[in-house]
Amino acid sequence: MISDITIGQFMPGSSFIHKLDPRMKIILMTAIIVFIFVVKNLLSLGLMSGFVVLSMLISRIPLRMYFKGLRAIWFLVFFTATLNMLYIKGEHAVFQYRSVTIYEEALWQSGFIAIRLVMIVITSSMLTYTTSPTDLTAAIERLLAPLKLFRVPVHELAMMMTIALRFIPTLLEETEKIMNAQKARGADMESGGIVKRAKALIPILIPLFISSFRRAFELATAMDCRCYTGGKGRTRLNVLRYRFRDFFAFLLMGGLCAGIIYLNTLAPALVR
Amino acid sequence: MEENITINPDNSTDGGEIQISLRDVYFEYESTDESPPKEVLHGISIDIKKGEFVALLGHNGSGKSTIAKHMNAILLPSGGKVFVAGMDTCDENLLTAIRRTVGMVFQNPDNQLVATIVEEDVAFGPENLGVPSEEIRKTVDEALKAVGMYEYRRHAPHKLSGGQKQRVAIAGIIAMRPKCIVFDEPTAMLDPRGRQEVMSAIDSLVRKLGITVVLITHYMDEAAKADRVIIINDGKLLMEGKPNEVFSHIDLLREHHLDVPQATELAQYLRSLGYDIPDDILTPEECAAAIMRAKK
Repeated sequence: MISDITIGQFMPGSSFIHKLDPRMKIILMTAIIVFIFVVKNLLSLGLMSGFVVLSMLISRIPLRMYFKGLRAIWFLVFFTATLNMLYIKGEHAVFQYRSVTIYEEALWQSGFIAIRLVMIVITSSMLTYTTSPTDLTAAIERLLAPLKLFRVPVHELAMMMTIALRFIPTLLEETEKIMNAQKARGADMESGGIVKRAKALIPILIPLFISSFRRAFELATAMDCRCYTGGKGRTRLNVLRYRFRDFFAFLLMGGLCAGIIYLNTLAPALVR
Repeated sequence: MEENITINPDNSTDGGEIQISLRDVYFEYESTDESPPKEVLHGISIDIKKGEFVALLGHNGSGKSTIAKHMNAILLPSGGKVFVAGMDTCDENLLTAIRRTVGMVFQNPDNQLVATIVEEDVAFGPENLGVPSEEIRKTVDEALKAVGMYEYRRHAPHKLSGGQKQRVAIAGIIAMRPKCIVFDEPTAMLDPRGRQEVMSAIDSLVRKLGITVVLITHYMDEAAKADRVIIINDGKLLMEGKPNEVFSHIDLLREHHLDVPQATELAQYLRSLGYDIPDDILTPEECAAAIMRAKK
């Protein structure tokens, strides 16, 4: 049950998107998310969604995986869309019932918001589905490297991320073990109100914390034994290298951005 | 307690180059508010020769793990000296050189793996040492092949069995090309199959790669495979010698709550009943052969 959590799940493959340099993927994803908000009318929205759908197909990740990722945010999408619909005032009322008036502008706005949220989630899951965690942390380390000038411990942060990713499954497994052990001793975790259930978590969290500290200590010793002394003078097994396809993807992205800005001027903006 | 022994152990060998040398080592854990300082090691001297397979035995709390941690400067002696290939472990400038020479594998395989992919984890050591990328690739492949985990190089560690994880941990140490590897109860958390896998990996390190191995264990059957067995009791050296010599002292071992391999125990029992069976039996095969001979 706990292991159902699929955040950042990597699905190995050999599609064009899988093969892109992880740094390029992060840059492109950021650009897409920014431009999702630049989109102002149906023409540019069409271009953007077309691009996102096309990349979904190119990634060769089963579409149901994307829907699985969306399941967690349906409520958020629905909630923001409804709020927007009810509270945005405009000039053309399309619907009126007692004190509730829904305007045409509000409908557009909430529709756009919903589509934007969905596209953001799809693009970011595409990044994690097609990039291995190690590649992702390596890319983050490299992209953030300039921050070292401002004394940001970039390498240490990346190392922390790697170790966290490495230990998520281990700790989940351990949590299940402790839960089962407590259940075997008669702990009741499934009934009662919120307060009672929260209290039932304490006997799970305390052993989990203690063992995590012990693990951390042992891991630190093991890392010492393997001559880890921080990021200085370290080399890497897999060196990141930009290839032709990365420049191609970059140009494509540039074209998309220009296209969106151009299409935005062709028709009146539907959202602010 | 400080006895200033400053001889370079490399020059004081008697047959075979000495790789690790503990000279009259004392160790105490620092005192906390509640407890007074606790002395764990009381003057231990051990020499480990190049290419040797030494097993360190002792019951819980005897100080055997503490000794292991002295062998690559994780712990520093409170008194006495430890030399690794002639380097004093107290010299901080030599730390990396010492840990490159003596690698260490711990009990819990989960708590020594760093990366999310097997080959990345094996590469962790060489990466830290600043080895160029192409060379890391070669070293990692070799190390994984040496422990028979090459086919799993793209797997995630958490999906492997305990024995496989422990072999990956061993590969991670081999990849640093150490001269000696200290194993701190590497099989204590494994099932019988995992133990077998790990023991055969250790065996091939000694026999094929010529790596010096110090194995800390409380499984007598594992210790029986070593060239030399050292028994530690209450922070002191109790006995030292070839496995068959040491295990023939059944009574003394019992006195200190240690077992002997089952085959040795059976052979000894049969001897006491008057059968003609030698007193240096270690493995079930030897025992079976001796019983066959005695029957005829």
